[in-house]
Amino acid sequence: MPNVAVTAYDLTGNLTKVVLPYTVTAPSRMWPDATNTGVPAGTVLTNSSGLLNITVAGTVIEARNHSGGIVVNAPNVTIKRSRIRSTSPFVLIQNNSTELLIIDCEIDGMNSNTNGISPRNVLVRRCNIHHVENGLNVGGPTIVEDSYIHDLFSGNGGHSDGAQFNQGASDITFRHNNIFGGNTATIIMWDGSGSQNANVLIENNRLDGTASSYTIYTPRTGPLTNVRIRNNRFVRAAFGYNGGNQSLVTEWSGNVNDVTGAPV
Amino acid sequence: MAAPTVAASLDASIYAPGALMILTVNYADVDNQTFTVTVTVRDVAGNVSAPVSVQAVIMDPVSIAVADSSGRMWTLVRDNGTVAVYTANA
Repeated sequence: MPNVAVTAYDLTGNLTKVVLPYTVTAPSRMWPDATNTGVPAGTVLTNSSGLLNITVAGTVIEARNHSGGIVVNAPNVTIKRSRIRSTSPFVLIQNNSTELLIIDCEIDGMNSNTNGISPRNVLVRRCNIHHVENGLNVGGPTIVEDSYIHDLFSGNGGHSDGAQFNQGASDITFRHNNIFGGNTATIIMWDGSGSQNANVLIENNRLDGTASSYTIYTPRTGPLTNVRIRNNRFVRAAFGYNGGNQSLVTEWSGNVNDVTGAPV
Repeated sequence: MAAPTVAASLDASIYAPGALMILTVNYADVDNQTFTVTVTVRDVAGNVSAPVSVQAVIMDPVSIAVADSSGRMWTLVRDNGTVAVYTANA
């Protein structure tokens, strides 16, 4: 059991020490999956369909079984405990405003070349995202936590990823997600030239590259600002763990093989 | 000189991976003491001045060190001289 020790000491060398043990629950037993993401069991859903254009600030979409895309054009919108299904050609949920919360939702692209959520100012928590080409198309500030991204669609020449970061996208956090990569990767950061991703934190995720070329792609060109990838559990992809230039990232630490625990 | 006093607490005993951990430390040092020095001046004729007093405090400042057996980095977020708050990610 880990502990934190606090020591108080004065100029004359006297000291007092307190030790506090704590427990961090084993991540392998807690990874997001179909049982703990998406619409909670017992939720009664109301059917709706068509392109949903939200224009009123503070709108709450709750307990919907919605067939069609959602475009958010108002701030502080919440979408929760809902199933969103669509073969919308570009994105199922698109935020054009600020502070969109998507919580306890299932997002199903029904095997289409679409993005699940795009592009910025979004907090995603406990969502089950699947059968899209890319789970998230990240263009700006985004937080994704406790979510399950899997069974991505790679048909029609698609390059599928759990998440892809656009050029220059910044302020991005992925924490404690279970991501099964598409045919490219679980997460692919911007790998071209020009403005790079910044202020990125990818930690405590399970990143499964079984179906991918590389488990993750960090950028190939720099300079990078505050890009941290730490304490993740990796499943190796066909060609390796990282298709990017790992030496460019600010921090790469504590990452291990999910099966063996060996450092990655 | 006496040892400092310290009491520390975590906001929980069990954390999910990645969760924010908050450590609060209350501390003090009983050695801080105020003293007074009083001065009078006497000449050879026996005249004595009025006493003049000054006060001062003997400080024995306390420093806090935090170490984590699992290598987690604890970051100080505030310290008012008696209460310090640190955070880390589980």
